Amino acid sequence: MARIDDGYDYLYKIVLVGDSGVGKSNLLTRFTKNEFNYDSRTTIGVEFATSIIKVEEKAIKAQIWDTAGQERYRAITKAYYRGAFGALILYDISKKATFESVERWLKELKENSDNDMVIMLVGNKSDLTNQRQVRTDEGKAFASAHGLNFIETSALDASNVNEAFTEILTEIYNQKRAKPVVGDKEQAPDVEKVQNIRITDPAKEHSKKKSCSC
Amino acid sequence: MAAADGISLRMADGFGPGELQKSDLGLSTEMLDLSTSALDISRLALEESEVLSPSTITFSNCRSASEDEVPSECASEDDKEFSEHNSGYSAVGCNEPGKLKTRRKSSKTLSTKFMRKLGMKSSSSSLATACGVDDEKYKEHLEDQHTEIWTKELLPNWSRKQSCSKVRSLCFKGIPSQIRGQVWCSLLGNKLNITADLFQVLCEQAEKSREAYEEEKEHIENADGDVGGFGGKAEELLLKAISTHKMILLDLPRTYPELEIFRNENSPYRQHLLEVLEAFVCFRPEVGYSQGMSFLAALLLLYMEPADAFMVFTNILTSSCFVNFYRMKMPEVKMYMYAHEKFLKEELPYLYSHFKKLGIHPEMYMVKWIMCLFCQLLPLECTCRIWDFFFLDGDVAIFRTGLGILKLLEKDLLKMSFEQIAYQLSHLPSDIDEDELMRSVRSVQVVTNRRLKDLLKEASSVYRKQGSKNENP
Repeated sequence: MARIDDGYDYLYKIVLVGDSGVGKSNLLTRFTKNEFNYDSRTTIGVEFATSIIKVEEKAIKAQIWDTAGQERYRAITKAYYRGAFGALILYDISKKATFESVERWLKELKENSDNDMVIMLVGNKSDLTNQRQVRTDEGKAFASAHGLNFIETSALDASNVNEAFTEILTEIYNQKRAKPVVGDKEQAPDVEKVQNIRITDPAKEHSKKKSCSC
Repeated sequence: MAAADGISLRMADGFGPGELQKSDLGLSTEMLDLSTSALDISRLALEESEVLSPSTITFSNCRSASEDEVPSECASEDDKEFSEHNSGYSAVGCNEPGKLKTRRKSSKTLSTKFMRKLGMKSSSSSLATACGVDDEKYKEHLEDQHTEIWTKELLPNWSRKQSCSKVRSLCFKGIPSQIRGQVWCSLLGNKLNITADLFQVLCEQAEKSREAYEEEKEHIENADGDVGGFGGKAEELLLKAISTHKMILLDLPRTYPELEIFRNENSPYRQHLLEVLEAFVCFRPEVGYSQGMSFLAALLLLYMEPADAFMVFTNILTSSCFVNFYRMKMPEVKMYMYAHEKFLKEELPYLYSHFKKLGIHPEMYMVKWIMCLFCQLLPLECTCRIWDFFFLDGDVAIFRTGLGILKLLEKDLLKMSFEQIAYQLSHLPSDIDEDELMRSVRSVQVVTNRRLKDLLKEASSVYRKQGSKNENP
């Protein structure tokens, strides 16, 4: 587990979304463990990992939720958008269709999030230069038209992976730094917020004890 | 965490310990030093006992050959069934496939043939002890005994014997791998009357639509010169259609990638997996394909022929629990989570409070556990043992197993933070011992069919009330 017990000053929840097979899980393991798995498995439901980076001498802990890409899983995964301060929408630069889905993912995020999320568009698999189907300027243009940050990454050769996470975390930090995380780090304030909002779940009805950090 | 895998050698006639070549096994000299003592131990054990044949030597602390090293000429001669079925796939790092297998710490239920079939890899392990060898032999002996009871006593008289307590107790002890598929089929039955002919028809139907797609793809490929493999406009077309076929194709290489027979794209198992999944989609289009299904079908294919795997797969998927999860139907999925949480509160109140306090909700782990029926979360042998229980008891086994796992890990989980728990529950320890796990599962008493039904009913009325009460976010 990546540095899970380290101390930190700020805790930000981030979600990874995008079509199946664009490399969300590998981007996450590249960032949190510096690993790439050629034999990666289908993500069922959600996966979770954390990592800590330094921004202006402050330790920022990213709590990252990697979601399954299949459409029908959204019924479950969209609950994780709540309380998230940031999101990476991934597409595969060698598969145009995954880029065409970006708009849908964006809509999905906006409809289901409760924060003013920092959203970054990530064109992954930039190492597949010969199979490129989405030009860098197309990605850039889409991002700027929708007010998103943009970067191209390769989880395989590790290029820009740390940069992508650092950039989004720094931006969140700049937006939120007036509001440090309050309370025990054992608790997960943002996830607690997920509970508070999920009104359809009666089992959670009586758990509205803690206040959210944001 | 330390992996507990090792290598175990099955000695057939004419293959004495002295004839071992380290190159045969992909072992280093250092490893052989360790294995020599294991050989001595096994010789002693052999002298003591004539009962077991073939006998087994355990090389713990030996590493199997590197994970990348897959000898191409490993086809087995002493295993016709497997050779016919799947020539060219066998144990990793072994020139004597009939005589080498990889195994987990104390697992003996996966037979040599079976492990070879999987092209199973093993990593490092613990020191061999005389006790380990005895344990091995004892387990093998038991397995033989169990096989005999199943094949001579129970299966031939199934209608009379299926509800006798012996069946139950043998299932909990683990069904021997060589007859596992057969027993699973018998336990589950075939309420849907799925036949091999039906499977054939569905396969042909699926094949036709696949051909139509391929044709279209080829057409585009020809028109567009720069398409290589899955690239280009063909791939664009493939991905544009949010089609089931696309999703299945995407998932094939991502299903049990650690097993050579599924990783290798030319493996017949890959083809069988595609057939079973696509036939199912033709059979139950309203359910369609959901990620997670491929693991279920793959595990079945390890133990049975495609037509049987399809029969079992479709029958499993009549369970309302699975159907609701695979269709991601709300609030049905939440109703099952509600039931699980109630069980948790009853069986493990401290853990329940701990989870509540930290904000760990059941969807975070149960969705994954249920949708792939514990595949890819636990060592293969553990998963199979859980499945033995599942085929015996159905849905209730899933919830009992869920609690059994939590119970086994409770001590550790109580000390963990939110993040540690979230991580741990989707990456269960790889050194869980299957016997210990099953003991823990059996010790869970609160989960019964009746209670599950009652709780689902209760949940349904709670959600109905809530649904009508508050629609506001």
